[in-house]
Amino acid sequence: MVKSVRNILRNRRGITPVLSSLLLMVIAVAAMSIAITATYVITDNLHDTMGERFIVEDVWFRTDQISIYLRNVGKVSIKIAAVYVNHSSQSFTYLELEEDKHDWLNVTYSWSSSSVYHINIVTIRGTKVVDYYTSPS
Amino acid sequence: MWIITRLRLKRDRRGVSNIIVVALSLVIILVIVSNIVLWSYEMNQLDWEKMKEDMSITNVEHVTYSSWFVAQSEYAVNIGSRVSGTYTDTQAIDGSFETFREGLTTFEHGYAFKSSDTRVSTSSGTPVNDSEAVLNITLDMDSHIFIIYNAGNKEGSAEDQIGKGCAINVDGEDKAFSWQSPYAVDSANSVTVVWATFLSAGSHTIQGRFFANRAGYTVGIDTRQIMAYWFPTVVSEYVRSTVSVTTTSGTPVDDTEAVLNITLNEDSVAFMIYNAGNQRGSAEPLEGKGITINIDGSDIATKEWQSPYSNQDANSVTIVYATLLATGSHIVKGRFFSNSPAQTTTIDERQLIVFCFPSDAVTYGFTESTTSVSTASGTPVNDTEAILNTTLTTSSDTLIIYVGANSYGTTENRHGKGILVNVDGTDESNSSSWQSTHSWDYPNSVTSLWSEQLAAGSHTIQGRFSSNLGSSKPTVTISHRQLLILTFPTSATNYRLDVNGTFVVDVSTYPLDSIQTLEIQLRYRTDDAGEKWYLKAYNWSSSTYSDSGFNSTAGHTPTTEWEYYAVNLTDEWRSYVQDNGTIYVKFVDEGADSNQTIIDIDFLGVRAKIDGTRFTFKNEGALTSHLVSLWIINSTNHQRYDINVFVNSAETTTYLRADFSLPTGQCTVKVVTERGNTAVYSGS
Repeated sequence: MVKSVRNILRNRRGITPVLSSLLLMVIAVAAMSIAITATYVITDNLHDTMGERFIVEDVWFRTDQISIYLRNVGKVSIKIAAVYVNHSSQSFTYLELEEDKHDWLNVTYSWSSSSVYHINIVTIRGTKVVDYYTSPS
Repeated sequence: MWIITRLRLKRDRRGVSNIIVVALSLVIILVIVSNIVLWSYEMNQLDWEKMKEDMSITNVEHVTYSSWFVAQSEYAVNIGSRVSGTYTDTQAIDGSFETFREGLTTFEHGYAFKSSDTRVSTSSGTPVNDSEAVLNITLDMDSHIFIIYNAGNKEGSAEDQIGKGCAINVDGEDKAFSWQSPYAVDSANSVTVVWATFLSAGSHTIQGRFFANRAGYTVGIDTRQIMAYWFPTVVSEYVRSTVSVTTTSGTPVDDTEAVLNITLNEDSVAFMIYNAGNQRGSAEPLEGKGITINIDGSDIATKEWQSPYSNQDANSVTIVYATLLATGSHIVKGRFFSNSPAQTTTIDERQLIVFCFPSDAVTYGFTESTTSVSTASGTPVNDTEAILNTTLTTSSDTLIIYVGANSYGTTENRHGKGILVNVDGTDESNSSSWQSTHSWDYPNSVTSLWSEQLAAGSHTIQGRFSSNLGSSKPTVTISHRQLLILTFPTSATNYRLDVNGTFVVDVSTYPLDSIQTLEIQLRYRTDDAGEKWYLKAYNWSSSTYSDSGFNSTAGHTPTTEWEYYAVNLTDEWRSYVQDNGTIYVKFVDEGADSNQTIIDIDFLGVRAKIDGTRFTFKNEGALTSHLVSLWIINSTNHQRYDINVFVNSAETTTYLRADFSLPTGQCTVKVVTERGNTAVYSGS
């Protein structure tokens, strides 16, 4: 055993290829990890964006407010990021819906009777539901 | 080839690395693509399914009644029998029906009664047999039994002024005592004593006994009645106590030794008798004592009073009562008071007995009155306040007790009065009893017993009374009285039907909060149009079958054709329904009769009155739809309801909501599927 160690110390020309191989392995593993992580992040975001579905069950024009009842029918939770009424952003109550959940989204807006409103509801991932709604007379 | 390849690879190692890198890259790309493609496929399928959904609302209507809830198990026949058919034949109005037949109903009882006007006397200070008051009875079963012995002498018969005592002896053992003293020597003097116990099956001897309150002085009995009634199955409570209690109160106070707790599991006819007295030597005012009965905290309307010969002489009083007691717990107390407030009156021994009989097996009559009636007649005249008319559907063993008294200060000859019972116009002379008082206008109470078997039909029972002395100022008075009849039908022709079934209202569809009331409907026919029929339900509050609160409690008299009989439980319905929707319905006749009726039941059901809405959904798509939201929208409100309805492809489903009705005026109904599609219905 002592003899073998002495032989290795004596034969220094064999150490360099080993070290270089180990270094390459570490670099390769790190590169693969970065690649896999990037893959996961990219596909997960894409996955969530593709899985978003929500519908408007009802729109209720109330005093200085438009209440929109949303239902999450997709595969991921949604968070409402913006509401546009007639293409202008409006303030609204915070709403985040888990899968199969539903609730009112209250948009502060002074509407006029017997008018048509273009309402665009946008999630934080960019999914949107857009439709025209007529206010009551 | 393999060797050549190995040699080339050894020679060109950089090529191997490139292959590995490319392969790994391809794997990563494959993972990314497959993930995206598969997820895209799944979401596309979701979208595709959503597109394929085709749900519509075809009708929306106001609903005022639920469907009928019918028996889901066989009816329990409590009295009578099932002849043919099954409960399934009563689930719909059609040609099939279930048939029942009335059965014999009996309330097991026995009785012995003896009355005699043969005089006996004694001067013994210890009990001796009243040879005319012996009952030899044989019980088929272990039974609860009550015994009443009432014995007295009339005016002019030999009687010591200190009076006599009486006892009930059962199988050779004296069980209960009572004592009384008259106005003077040879004045009228009667004693009542009662006893109740549980006797084993077999032969027993019941003996009335009497004795002089002052040994060596003659006392006598001119007329006596002794009766025993026994029942193998009866709810009964009784107490006899010889613990002395006193009071100076002029208003009733509890006789602490005379308290009975009774628990009934069905409505019952309760018969009560309270007898309390003091023996010679105990504190007793000249005015004597009064007693009454208290039921569940309320004194009955009448009292009884009696005065002794003198201070500290024997003085006893008896009072009876009968009433219908509801299912549940009750407290019956004997109460007493001094007729001379501030002077002590004593009870040395009392007996308080309560026997409760099934209300549908025993009939009773009871009247009490506080209207004063007087007479100066030396022969019996009617106590116009003591009359009972009864109609018996079958021959019945009948117990009659009449007790009448005047209070202190009402007109009463000191020689007192006599009373008796008149049955259907005939004075039963052996029911006579007499009592004298301490002095003019002093309290005086008399008790009369009678028992016989009365035939089916109408009967009149009349209490009558007379003055014991028709000389100067002979007037006597009855200011309070009780007249009581208990009839125990003999078992020969006593037919009844008592059927009950279980019905369950679907509270998942018709929440109790949304039910306004319940209706019970029966379609039936009988072969006897001579008796009424009743629908009742189990009242979970009072734990009994009842029709209290129903819109009709008069019952239904059928013809021999098919008839409908329906009752509405009004706003009392909640007492009849358990939280899980269970309701027990009883179909019962009005009482026993001599005809054995056959009853066909075509339909018996329960339904709820609601103010709800029925929706009809039609799925014209290729996939099953799951409806999750229901919207009722009008100009003032957008109301959403969670629903959970599955509609198969190409099917139409009705969905009922009993908890709301459509708003008046124009409204829109929307239903939303789990996939996100919406169906709309507009109507008014």
